Amino acid sequence: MIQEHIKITNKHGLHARPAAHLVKVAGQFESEIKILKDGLEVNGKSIMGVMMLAAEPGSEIVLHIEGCDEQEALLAIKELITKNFYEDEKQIS
Amino acid sequence: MKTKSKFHKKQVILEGMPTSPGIAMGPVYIFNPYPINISELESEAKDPRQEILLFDRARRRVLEQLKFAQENSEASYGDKFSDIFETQQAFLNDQVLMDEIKKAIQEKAQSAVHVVAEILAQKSDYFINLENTYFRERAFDIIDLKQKLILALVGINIDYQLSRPSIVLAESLSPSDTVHFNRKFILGFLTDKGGKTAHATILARGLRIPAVVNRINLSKLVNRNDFLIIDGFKGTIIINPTDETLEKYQRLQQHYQNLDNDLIEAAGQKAVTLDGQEIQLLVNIELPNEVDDNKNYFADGIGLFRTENIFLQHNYEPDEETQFQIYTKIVKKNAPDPVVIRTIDIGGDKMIEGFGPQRELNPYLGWRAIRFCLDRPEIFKTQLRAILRASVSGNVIILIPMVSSLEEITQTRSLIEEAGNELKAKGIAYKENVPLGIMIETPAAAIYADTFARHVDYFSIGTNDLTQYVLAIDRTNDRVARYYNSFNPAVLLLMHKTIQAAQKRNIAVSICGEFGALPEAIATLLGMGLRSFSMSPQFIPRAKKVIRSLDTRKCVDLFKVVKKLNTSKQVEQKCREFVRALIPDLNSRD
Repeated sequence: MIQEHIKITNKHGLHARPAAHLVKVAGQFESEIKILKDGLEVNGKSIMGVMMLAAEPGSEIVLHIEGCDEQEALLAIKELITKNFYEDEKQIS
Repeated sequence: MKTKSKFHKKQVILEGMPTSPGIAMGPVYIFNPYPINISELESEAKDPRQEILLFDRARRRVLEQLKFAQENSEASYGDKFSDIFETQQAFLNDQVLMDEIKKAIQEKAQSAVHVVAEILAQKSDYFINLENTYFRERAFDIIDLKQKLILALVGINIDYQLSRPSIVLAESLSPSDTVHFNRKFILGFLTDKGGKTAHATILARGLRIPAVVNRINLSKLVNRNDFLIIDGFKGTIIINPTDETLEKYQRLQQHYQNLDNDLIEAAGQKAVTLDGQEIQLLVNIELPNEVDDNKNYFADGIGLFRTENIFLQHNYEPDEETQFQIYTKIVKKNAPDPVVIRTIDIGGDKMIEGFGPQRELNPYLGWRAIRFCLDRPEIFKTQLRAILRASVSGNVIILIPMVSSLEEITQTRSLIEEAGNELKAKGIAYKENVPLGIMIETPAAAIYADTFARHVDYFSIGTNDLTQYVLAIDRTNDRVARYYNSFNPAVLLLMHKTIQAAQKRNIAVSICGEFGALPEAIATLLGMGLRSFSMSPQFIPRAKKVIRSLDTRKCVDLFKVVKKLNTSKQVEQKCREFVRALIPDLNSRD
């Protein structure tokens, strides 16, 4: 099992679209992915769960990943969040 | 079976909150999409596997409905509202959530309807308690989704197909309800609940469908045979109007329909000129209940609150507490926007019985307004105390009418001070240094504006009286009424002088007469340098449209030409040509 703290830095936080994006990436992995914030633990593959975190910009979430591809999953999710869900790039295109 | 209308085909007039501008009239369509009482349905599932199949089918149906709603919305607005529908679809495609529901059906051997209702209610309850507005509002998307699933599960189709043009009356409407209706037949929306920032409201405004929120369960009281009028500018709701009322609103509706199509849209926008000058648009109100919300008229505050009606409604002597309550309500609802409270303007055409001489030979030149108030300091001070107390709750300006001499200003100031001291002595909270303004409506005030501007904080140009006094015309006398014209060069000159004096002394100036709402007048007043207007709420959309089509630099040029013209007719014609050239389809005079 691996664990990592990540800060949410995109414009609006985990609103519907970024949450959907996160869930989509998480869904590509076998591992069990849990996200924790303020004492709430949700399934990272559920958009309902991810939105329940109500993660605003500047807030910190904790990823708990366990499974055969946990390293790859962590890398992929971390990249998505730190690159702000590629929101800026989307605006250009 | 026909139930008898609570309104027995009698005209009933109610005040609601306007949320989308426009006037609608027509038969009512009572929309009650969720007539099911879940607790009456069987909760035990004899065959959980069958329930899971039912649930899967319902889920697919709702997904189709949402896709349809999204396409409908996108056809009208692009992707502005797509995220609502996308989120709902994403919830239905959430495998974790779907498994949670199916597992509960299986394990509890409960019907799909009950499980869906319970689990989605838990989720929406969670969201509704969140602090962040965005996440909190998602609760409504979940509630809407829950309702849709339940209806699909019990096999009820929501009827969005209106059989004739109607005003839709509902307890509340979801965004997807709003876009599902057949647009050709939707005349207006009247809901028991809702607000200006609700998604359904924003959609209604985008669709240019008038909408009003009634806040008293009208959806339960109105009968399907009733006829409705809703006024999305003022919030008025009329049930079963008389022929006379109907005609009045038909005229009003015609008036708005004649205006440019953008007008309704302009109502929700800012009053900014083409060269980026922000113009303050305020409303004139007569009755306290005309204000139900701080943005009732999509305006920037109350530019003229006439207090005469409060006196008329309370046997001419409302006590301090009564006035305090009324003023506070209005001030609070508009805070931090300004509320200009005009002290009682009685006498003239508004003679109050029981006060002094019943009849005067020249009432307009007689014992009225500030003259009356200064002679009856107890009545005046009662009002001033109530205003000073209400000022604690927001942004108040005291406005005194009919000023023609400096003494009237200084005497009023000392009465305000006395009123304040009386409150202080009693330990009652009030605001000190409440700004004091005067109406510029006598020739003396306009001519002497430069001096008065050093003694007050605010000017409000009252064009109706100013025109009447400058031209010495009694508007109610048919023989001379035709000479009454605010475009008269002498009247305009005094308005200009007033605006210049205010600018020179750095005090605020606005206009509150009927003249200031006319498109051709707005152009020339902007040219004089005026940046604030107060008018009846129904003129706000038109004024916005006009302001958004004008460039103040060109208005300055217009006024340079107007200044050289010598007759009312020439001035009016020039101003009209100027505005018509920019906004050709504007119906300027009523």
